[in-house]
Amino acid sequence: MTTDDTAAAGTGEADSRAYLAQVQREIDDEVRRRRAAGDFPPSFERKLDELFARFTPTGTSDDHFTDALKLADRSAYFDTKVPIGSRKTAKGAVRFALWQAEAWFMNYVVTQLNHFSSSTMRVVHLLDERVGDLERELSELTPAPLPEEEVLSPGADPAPYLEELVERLGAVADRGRILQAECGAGTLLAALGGAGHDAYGIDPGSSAADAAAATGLEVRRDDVLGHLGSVGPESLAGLVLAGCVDRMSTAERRRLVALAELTVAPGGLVVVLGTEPAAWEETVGPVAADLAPGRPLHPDTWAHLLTRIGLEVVATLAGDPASFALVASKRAPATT
Amino acid sequence: MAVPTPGRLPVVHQLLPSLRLGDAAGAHTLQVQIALREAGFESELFVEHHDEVFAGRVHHYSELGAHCSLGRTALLYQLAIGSKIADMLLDRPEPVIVNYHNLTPAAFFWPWDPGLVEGIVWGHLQLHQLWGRATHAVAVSSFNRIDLDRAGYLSTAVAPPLVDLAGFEGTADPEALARYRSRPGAQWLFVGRLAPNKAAQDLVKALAAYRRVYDPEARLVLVGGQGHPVYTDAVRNLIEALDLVDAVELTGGVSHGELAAAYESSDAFVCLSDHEGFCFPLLEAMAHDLPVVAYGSSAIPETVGTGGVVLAEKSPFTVAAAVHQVLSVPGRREVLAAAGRARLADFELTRTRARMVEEVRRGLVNAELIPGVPSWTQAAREAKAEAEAAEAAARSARAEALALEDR
Repeated sequence: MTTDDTAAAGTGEADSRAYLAQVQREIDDEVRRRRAAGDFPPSFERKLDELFARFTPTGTSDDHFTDALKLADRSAYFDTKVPIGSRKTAKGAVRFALWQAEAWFMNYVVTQLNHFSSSTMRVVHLLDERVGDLERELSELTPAPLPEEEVLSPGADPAPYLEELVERLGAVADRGRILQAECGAGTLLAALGGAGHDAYGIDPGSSAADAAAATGLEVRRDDVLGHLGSVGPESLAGLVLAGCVDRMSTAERRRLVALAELTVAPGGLVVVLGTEPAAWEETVGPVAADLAPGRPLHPDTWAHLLTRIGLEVVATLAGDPASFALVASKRAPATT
Repeated sequence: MAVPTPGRLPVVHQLLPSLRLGDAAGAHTLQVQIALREAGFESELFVEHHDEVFAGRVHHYSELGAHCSLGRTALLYQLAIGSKIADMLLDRPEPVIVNYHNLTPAAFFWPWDPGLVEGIVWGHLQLHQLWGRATHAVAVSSFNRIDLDRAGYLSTAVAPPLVDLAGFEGTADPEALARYRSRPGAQWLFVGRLAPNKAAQDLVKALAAYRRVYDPEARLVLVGGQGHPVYTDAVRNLIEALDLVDAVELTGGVSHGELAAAYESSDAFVCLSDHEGFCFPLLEAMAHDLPVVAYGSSAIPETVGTGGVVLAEKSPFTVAAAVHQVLSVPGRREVLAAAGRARLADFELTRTRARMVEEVRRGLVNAELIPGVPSWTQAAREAKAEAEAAEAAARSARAEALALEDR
């Protein structure tokens, strides 16, 4: 439907649904095309988000305490000099007279209010200083990580599993969108898109992900746990977990599998694309492996974690000795 | 429970915390009153606050007792916020039917307007307290019904709100219409309070994206009251920072004629709210043949139905692309306007009035005020009896404690 829609659309509800689905596809195509052409730079969307975050009170943005304090300082002074100007001389004179008449009372009340607000703000500033001192002391107690502790897994390469993953995810793609977290260079996203599936990726900000976004893939700069927390329940057809799975802490991994169970639609798939621990240890050496805060898990451990939350492991793909792809399915409700 | 008198209909009085001109829940309540009276029920309206224009048509809720007779009166409570009325209902003997309009989660407001949170939490508390008193609860959308089911209501249903569609078609204020039409570029419209759950900032961001790629002269008109100063300031600051002061108009509250002018002069109605219990302006837009582009959160997909484009996500460029696709393809606006009109047929008053009366009757059957088979299951009856016994025991313990104190 590109030339004139009036003739193409029908009148019944089924026709309306089909027509709206067609419009939706055209919107998706437009977004993909524009992203590929570089018309929709992710940096612009990030700038918009960051801009609004600057104006939000503490509590809706992450760390703007100093700005919020400055705002509170500015608002903490009450002025008795009310605006009395008016384009009409008589009105201005009346306002002035009223202000003069009430000034003794207003000044008395406002002086007390200003005293109270300045005392309160002083307490807040003292608290800020104390919290700042505590933070400094805490940072001194926490030593900087050794270089060996910062050795992280670069994430498993999806290339050996591409064909099978595209086929398996494609089979459930009618249930919603497919999300890859983290998507890195976007190899799997490109393959899914090439097969006609609706897929997008998130990445906390690797240069590879920026390069992937520049090629037109839908890649958002976001943190995996934060993003999954904002995805609607049972809205994803497939969730591919990569990169982050190799370096998360135990608590983060538990949260990850719980969010995976929550966000994937019944019948949908969760794929863990992980690095084999032995191969990783061989690469980084025993010292770094022992000191690293997070390390890759065995496929059996992932299978255990996913099974515990009610998913069914349907395949463990081993196309490369250094990595694995574990595929788990969320059971669809039984039909009678 | 009283034995119903054959041939004599019970009285169904409605209670509403606040009846304001232009308020959706208030307009619905007035329509329900008409529907009940047409169906043969005697029905009065009791409120805590009301606009002057309604004087003589409503009673103060403190007068309710004088209008009730036990075994013959049921009370239909319109729940949209915490109120003294709900507290009063908990202590009254008449059966209660709850008509639930949704309570916006407090999380949307606490950073912006902490003073409002108390009222919302109060409303949630009352929603949970009323379950034991309600013989039936009716939600205006399936999305809202989830709250009722979670709160433990034993008998729930969905009935669309009663909307006077003819009332949408007001005469546009000619001055406002000329002013809007004199400006170049596509005009986006959103109608609703400037509140955090309605995400005006996302509309501004999407407009910025649309102007960058498609139409540098496009504009956004945001019609609605500005009751949250911190949030309003943040939206204004965003508009200034993006250099959109001339492109985004925050009208505040407007007259009926100015609202009609905004609808008539706009090219698309764009709604990116994160939470809506129903969203009446979507229907208003459809009534004005305005194509609808909406983000599919909360009850929005249900309200839009097949009457507009519903987006699965609302990144600024996706919204921009969606509006572009709606406005740029020849004939598409007309098709979407027709789809909107078709959707409106589902809210045609004779249909929705009959549906609402049917649900009120269900509540009356459950209360055994009219003959019929109550919808309670045996298990539900037992649970209700248990809750009532626990409540009675708590009351008696409290009475005993007070008596001891008196001694």
